[in-house]
Amino acid sequence: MRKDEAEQAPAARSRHGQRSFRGFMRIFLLQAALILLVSAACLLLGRVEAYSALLGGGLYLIPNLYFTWRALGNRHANSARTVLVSMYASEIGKMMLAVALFSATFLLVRPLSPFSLFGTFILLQLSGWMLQVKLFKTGS
Amino acid sequence: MELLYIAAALMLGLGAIGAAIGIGILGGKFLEGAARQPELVPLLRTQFFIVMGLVDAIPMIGVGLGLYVLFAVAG
Repeated sequence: MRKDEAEQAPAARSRHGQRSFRGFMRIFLLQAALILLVSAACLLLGRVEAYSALLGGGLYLIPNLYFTWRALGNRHANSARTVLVSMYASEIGKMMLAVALFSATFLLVRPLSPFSLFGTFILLQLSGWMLQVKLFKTGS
Repeated sequence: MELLYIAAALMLGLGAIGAAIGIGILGGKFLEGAARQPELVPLLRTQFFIVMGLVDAIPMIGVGLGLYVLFAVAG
């Protein structure tokens, strides 16, 4: 590798990281819009179903936002070791956050409609798969 | 009632085992790829992130259902 290429490599890596971070944030915005749509549709069934759908969406979005911010927000993680450490630490944080939020929801919110809560949660997982694969299928 | 606790424990425990195996294999493959071509680390990082989301989606649903059984059904 020539000297000018070696100097440009970290900047190119940082640009790539920023681009993918913005791509994931765009996916989360689309998913937030999807939560509002599902919640509005559930409002036809009742108020409990509507706020359960909102809670299901929040239970998906909050841990995943934390995961993305923690795993991709760190622009200085360029070596394989630091990337792996930041990914594993973010995954543990995401799991702990999800467990705490699920526990708090089931303990504090009564009445709750489990079908609309888990329906929205699973719908968002599926939409997340599809949007991520579609957005990054070029391998960029 | 005890069966509900066993069901919740199985959901949480088996989900955790599945996620741990999947993410462990994924991390190993990432290190292999990064060792072969270090210049591809940013690209591999994005792919790693996407596949990590795919691997832990089902265990997350299992965790949610297990906690529902634990706190809302049995509790």
